[in-house]
Amino acid sequence: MLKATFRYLVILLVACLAALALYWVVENRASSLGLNTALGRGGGRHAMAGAEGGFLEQRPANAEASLEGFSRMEHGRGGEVNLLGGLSGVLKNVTVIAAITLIVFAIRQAGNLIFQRRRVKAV
Amino acid sequence: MSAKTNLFVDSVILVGFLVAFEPLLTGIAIHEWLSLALAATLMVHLVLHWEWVLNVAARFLRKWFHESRLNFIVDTALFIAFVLVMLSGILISRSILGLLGIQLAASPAWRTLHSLSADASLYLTGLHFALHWKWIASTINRFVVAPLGRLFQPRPLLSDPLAAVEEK
Repeated sequence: MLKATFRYLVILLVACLAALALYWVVENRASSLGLNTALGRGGGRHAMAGAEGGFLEQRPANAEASLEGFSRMEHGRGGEVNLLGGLSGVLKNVTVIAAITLIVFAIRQAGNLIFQRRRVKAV
Repeated sequence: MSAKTNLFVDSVILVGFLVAFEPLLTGIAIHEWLSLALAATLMVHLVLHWEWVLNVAARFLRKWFHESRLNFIVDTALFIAFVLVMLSGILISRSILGLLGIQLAASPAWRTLHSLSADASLYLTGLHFALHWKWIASTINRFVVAPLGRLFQPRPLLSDPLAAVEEK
């Protein structure tokens, strides 16, 4: 029990450190990542915490429009649930996972075949 | 921990991941809470495979050309992608932060990152799934396909009790 608790704490600690590092990178190095040119800055606390030259410094005129567009894309029209759209999305994701699995499987099989032929030649 | 438990937890994670990945299917509030629950389940997944993680990490430093090296790289990238998805998700969250009484103005960059890291986590999950396909296939075969197959197999007829008595 104690061991498991310790392991959970280690995972949480690593996740927190990774999150802090990612937060720092995004807030301070956004310009070098090209995030400021992509969408511009937001407001509120993030904007206050932004460093010089970060994505918080510049905001394109269409930032609000792109934000609304993203919101619609992400959550459906006005945050509505779209069962058909959602199910097609799930199906699409399953297809992506299946396709990646098949590709990796094919690469492995090809690799095995090549190695087997080499071994046979060597014998 | 038994392979059966691992298979059950992993199946729950996969289904939860697929559902949480589609906010259109659940609505934004369930999407947020489900994702938070998924993060907790992923921690259980990591704890269940703790020894494996340590072994792979140790082998990563020892052997240069080994499949575990690829596993370690993919799993580390997946962990970072999930951390970024959760971090950006919390920062742009409406339901969870709303319940806590915290109001953060949505930053477009975090939204972009949420979308990008979610896509990355999908591809990396596919890769993670593919790299462990052997274990997945054999465990499903052992705990799902074989028992189901046995259910539909015709049962052998009971031996004739009279013949058994004669043998004695």
